Amino acid sequence: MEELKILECNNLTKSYHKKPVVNHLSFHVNRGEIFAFIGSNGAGKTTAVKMILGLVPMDSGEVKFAENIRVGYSPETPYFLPFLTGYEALDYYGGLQKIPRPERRREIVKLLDTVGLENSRTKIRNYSKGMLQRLALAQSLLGSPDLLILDEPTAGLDAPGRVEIMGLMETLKKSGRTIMINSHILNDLERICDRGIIIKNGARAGTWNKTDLGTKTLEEVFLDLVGGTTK
Amino acid sequence: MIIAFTSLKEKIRRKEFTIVSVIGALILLTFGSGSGSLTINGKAVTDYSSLAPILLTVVNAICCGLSVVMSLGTIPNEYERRTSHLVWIRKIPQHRYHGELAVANILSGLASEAILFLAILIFMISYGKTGELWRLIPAYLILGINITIVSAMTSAFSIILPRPVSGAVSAAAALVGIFHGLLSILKDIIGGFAGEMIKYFLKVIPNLHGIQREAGNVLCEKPIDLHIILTGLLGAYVFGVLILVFKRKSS
Repeated sequence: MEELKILECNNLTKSYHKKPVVNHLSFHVNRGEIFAFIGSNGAGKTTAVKMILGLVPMDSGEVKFAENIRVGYSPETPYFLPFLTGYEALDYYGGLQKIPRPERRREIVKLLDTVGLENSRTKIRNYSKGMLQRLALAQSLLGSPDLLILDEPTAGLDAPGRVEIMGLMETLKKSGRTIMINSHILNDLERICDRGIIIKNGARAGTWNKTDLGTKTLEEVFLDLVGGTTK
Repeated sequence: MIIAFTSLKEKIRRKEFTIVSVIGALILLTFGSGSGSLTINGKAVTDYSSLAPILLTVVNAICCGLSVVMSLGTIPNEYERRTSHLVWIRKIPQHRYHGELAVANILSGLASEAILFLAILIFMISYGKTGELWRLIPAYLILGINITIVSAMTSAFSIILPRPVSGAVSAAAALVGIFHGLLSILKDIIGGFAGEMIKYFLKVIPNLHGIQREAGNVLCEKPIDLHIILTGLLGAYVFGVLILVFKRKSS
């Protein structure tokens, strides 16, 4: 694996009941970039992400991470233990990552502030969808991962929340993190991503590079490759 | 053990132990009064050596029942609410995850037992057995084997079976274990296919009644049968191994 690459996926394939969901998908993510994983709803993005993370077994293919890297993941629909507070949930996941307690405490307070959540006694069961997304992002940042894989990180957020989270992505990129974002919200991706692939029916429909766009917007590129209308 | 402690925290916040405490208070009201509220064949049972084993039988049955109820949902809940995904990506192996959740089940069962043992403690004090209170500790530990067996068994079944099935199987196994002594007598009387079935169940299901009887023997200053206790520990070990061996498909 080349030194520049932090993640390389080759020929990822997955079928459910003989119907291909991810179809010979290959791509790589370079260090320090924000990589867009673009596709309509049901294109197979989330399944591919789960295959990369080992949450879903693949039928065939190969996933290679650069050596000694830490990976953070924020799921599309975040589920947390509902009886915990946001702080306690982060403490739980930080504990699983074996982050020493004093360091963990400092990091959690900082992360809650970073994602715009109060360190309150509110239980997660009373969180709004937007608050859950922010908490999901915070837990993915625990332990300062080198690669962040974010599945629809702005789903459920209102416009100011989306702008805030996208701004946070840019800040993270500046701090040297690599981010792979799985989303269908093209405006958000176009603003912050460097490069990406567009998938259709689980297969690669084409690639997108911010510098090669010319006069076309990402939405136009997407429509050329996938067809139909965007949301 | 962070998974186990977090799971315990959930049980505490769901106020499961409050319910157990209420049950303990009810037991105390029934047995602790010492005013002949319990009668057998029309005769009031009031002496310590008769009441203590009965009290222990009640505590054992309630604790086993509570252990099934408290252990039944712990592991399936984690999968149903999909909180397991954020655990897997932190490279926590499934056997450790299940193991820690089962430890939480066992600890909550033992905590319930401790709460109910407070009823026995007050009962002993009311009978002037203050000099024998130390016997509560070995009795608690011996009866704790039953709680460990039932919690571990229910946890193991809950990994591989749907919740209603694992609940029914665990409850049935606990009942057979609690009535082990009675069923042993029954198998000799019945004979035939039914007798053979009972014989088979008695072989594979741990003798919870025997263990409880030994705990009672400790309380009543009678000799104990170590073989039954060791067999019980072996049963707990077997179910513990099953928890680590059984796998569940993650969605």
